[in-house]
Amino acid sequence: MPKDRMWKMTAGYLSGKFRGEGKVVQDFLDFVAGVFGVEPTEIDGDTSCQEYEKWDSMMHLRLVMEAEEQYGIEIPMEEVPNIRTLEDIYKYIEAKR
Amino acid sequence: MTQGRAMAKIALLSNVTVDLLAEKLGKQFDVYLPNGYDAWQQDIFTDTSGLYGTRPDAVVVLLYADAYADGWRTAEKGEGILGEWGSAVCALADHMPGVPVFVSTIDIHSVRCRYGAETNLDKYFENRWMKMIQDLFRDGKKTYLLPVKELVEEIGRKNFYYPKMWYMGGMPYSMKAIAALAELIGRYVSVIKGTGRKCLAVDLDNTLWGGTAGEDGVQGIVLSDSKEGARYKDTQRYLKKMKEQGVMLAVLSKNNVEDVEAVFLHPDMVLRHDDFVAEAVNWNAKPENLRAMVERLNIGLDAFVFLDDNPAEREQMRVECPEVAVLDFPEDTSRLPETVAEAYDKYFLSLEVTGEDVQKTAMYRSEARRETERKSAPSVEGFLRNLEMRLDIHLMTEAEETRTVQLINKTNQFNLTTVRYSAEEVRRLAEGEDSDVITVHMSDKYGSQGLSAVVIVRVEGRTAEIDTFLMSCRVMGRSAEDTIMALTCEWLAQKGIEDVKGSYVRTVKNSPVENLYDRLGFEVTGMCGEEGSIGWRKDYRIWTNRVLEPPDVFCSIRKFGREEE
Repeated sequence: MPKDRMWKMTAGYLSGKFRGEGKVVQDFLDFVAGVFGVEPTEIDGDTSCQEYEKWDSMMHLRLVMEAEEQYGIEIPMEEVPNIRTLEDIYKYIEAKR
Repeated sequence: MTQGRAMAKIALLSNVTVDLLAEKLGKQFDVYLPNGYDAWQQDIFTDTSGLYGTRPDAVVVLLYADAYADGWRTAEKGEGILGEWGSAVCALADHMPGVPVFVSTIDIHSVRCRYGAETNLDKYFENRWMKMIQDLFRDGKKTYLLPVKELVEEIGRKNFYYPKMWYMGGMPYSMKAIAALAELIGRYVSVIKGTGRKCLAVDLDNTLWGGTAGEDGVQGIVLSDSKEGARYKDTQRYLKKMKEQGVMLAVLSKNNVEDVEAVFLHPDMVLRHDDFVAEAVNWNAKPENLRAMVERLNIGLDAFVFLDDNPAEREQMRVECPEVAVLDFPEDTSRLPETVAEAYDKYFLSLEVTGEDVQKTAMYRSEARRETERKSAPSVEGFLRNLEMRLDIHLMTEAEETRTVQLINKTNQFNLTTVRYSAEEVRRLAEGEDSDVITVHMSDKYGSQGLSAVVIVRVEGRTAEIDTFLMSCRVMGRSAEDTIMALTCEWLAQKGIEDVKGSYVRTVKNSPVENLYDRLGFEVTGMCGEEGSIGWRKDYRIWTNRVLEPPDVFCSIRKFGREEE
């Protein structure tokens, strides 16, 4: 699925076909919002470390650690600095599914 | 911060990045974190550091041994690191006397490939570090071990550490470990506020042993050293250990006394009658029995924890005595010993155990026997003389400091001024030229009540002021206060004091001593505040040439080192 389509969809707008993925996306956003300590509506797949104030270097490591624990994924150390957006993390969850 | 009572302030010192832990602890505490990585020692050795500026209520030193992985490969290097850490902790404790310092135990784990006969230096260093902290404690510093190594063992090393975060951010701990560390620190720091509970009331059938005394009989119950019966024996072992650390145990059982007596003779019973401060074995409702204990033991319902396998009993207790903490009984009874161990951590954890704590149960039991005698005695004085009471009054010794501080900070009823002092302040009062700390021990034919009263006097010229006069509720109602005050005044007179001042400051709980000085013959010199309200103060004085005549109820008195029959 193209990046744009996947992330622009929220639970309410989903067609039947993508409902499964949509729910996982929303769960992931809810989870990240919990880590940031904000409302889920404040973030989406394009939220990036360059722009989002709450996403500092400490938060960067924490996001990786919490996502790894929560979803049982493994983001290789080499890749951690390359993560820029939430979608970059989500890709690992998607790959595992 | 939230409104209401202020959060306790803690300083979190570490040789690694602990921002996430600090954030988690921030929900319970006001947390101070030094600036900079591994800057904890600089903070300690800088008099003007933020650490000392924030005046924390407690300090936590969390050490990650493998930050210096090379350091543990030879005995010399390892000793070097521990020596350096030890002097930092020592300097910290000296700089903030009276402030508890919780020092983590260490877990050395990086070098995991060894040959069979290799010397196990890591275990040596882990134990050496514990011993160093315990030695500091023995030297009178407020350093306590925070069992972090145990936490690693419980959670498992693989789950506790997170190599990626260590290599990328200097953070060795996983989220799971951080949650567990926050819980552990929270538990230990809360102990300093002394909000713990005092008594664990236990059921008998299917709680201290398997089966029921009434139906299965002593031959049929499950209680043994091995196999199924061991889960109950282990539970009893935990309870016994708790009792030895000052937790009171009580029995709440619906049973016939004869049936229970038979089981108490079972060879595998660890607990004996002597281990319980009170036993209610009858067919009354348990909340009703518990309330009777409250009265007898002179502790509140909120000092009790209740363990019972029967959900209906637990429910009834929850409904009728909501102040009582009711333990969740494990569905899988192989978890019973662990349930009791966790209850200790949660409700009874204490940092130090005094001689009085060890003797507590015996003291309460002898109190019950005294009560029986009191009821049958013709007069109060006759009863008191029958007790063959002994009293020993003297200046506080170093060994008595912990118990003295404990009494000063928890005595509410018989406490004239209710001034609280830290260990450091008490030591200063004892050593100071213008002040003295006097302690009183009492005992009688049924046993010892231990250190049970404290008097602190401040001297100015020929006048002495009784800053503190308090007595444990265990010895109230024995006219001891009359004797203690008479002996104190006599001693002051010998030192050349001409008059003694005292005051009563009203609190929520000390109305029993409101008229004590009047009764002892002191004259009122002034009042301050609204009569009868909290904080209301009455000032008194007495001339030391006036001889106080306390009732003659002691069979032996030892005053300031001199024996007198």
